[in-house]
Amino acid sequence: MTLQPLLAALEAQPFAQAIREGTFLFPAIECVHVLAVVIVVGVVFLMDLRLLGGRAHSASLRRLLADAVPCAWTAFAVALVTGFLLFSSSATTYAANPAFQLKFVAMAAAGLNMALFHGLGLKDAATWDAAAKPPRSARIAGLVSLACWVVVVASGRWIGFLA
Amino acid sequence: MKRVRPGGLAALCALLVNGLMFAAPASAHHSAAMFDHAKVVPLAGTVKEFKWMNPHGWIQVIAPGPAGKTTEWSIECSSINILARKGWTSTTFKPGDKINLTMHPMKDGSAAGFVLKVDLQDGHSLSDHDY
Repeated sequence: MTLQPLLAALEAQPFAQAIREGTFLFPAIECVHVLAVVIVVGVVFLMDLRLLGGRAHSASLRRLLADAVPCAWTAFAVALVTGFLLFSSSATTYAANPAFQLKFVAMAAAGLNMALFHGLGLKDAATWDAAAKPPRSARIAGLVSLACWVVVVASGRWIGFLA
Repeated sequence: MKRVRPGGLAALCALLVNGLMFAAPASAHHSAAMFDHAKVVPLAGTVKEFKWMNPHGWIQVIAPGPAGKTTEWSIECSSINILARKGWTSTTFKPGDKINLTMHPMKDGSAAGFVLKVDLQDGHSLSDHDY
């Protein structure tokens, strides 16, 4: 199985060509993408630090999540759309870029960690919701999330130094 | 957004990653740190392709290679907004154009460089990195 024809077809789309060959679109979309990533990572860090017992104690964990999770998802959607547009401009090149690949591995790991935490880790949250220092499993989830998102940002920035 | 099933997202990410693993290997591309900024060397050759693209342009040049044999050089340019301000356009070079350029060569000696100035056959010149 190969994605190559699909990526080449994406790259050949008029919108992808406009982003690739214009002087304005690429930097403009990149600005929005970076801003969206900053919001995702900033909000995720706030939740992670709360899980680690370090910050944001004034609210219970679940209250913080209720406010922060929708915010993170909204910014993530913007990052996904702008990221797709940037990707489309040179899809075959970016797909083959090791830093780009690592970024997606790190995002998948962050997503899996989040799914496990929201599916299992939060089950008994009622008993420790207000505690400044959550149980070990929650602290580990916070630490893994922090690490994954640092890798997402670092490898994302690294794409430009390999391509 | 909160109602998106986390399992679904994980599956989507896994699918994306899985797909990317099958992508073709990277072609020769380099970061600016790979160029020897202390050296300026000339290169005379024939344009194979001019890639007017973000995040920066490329001139593919057929010229004598590092080992003497004719080879394809990948000459990196600035971002196209910088090039446009310096008078370059997407049609500055056509395949087959004879050009003389100066560049910072690769530190590892491979067939690539960072363009400084290009002299075209009609006598006019274009500069890129002019430091």
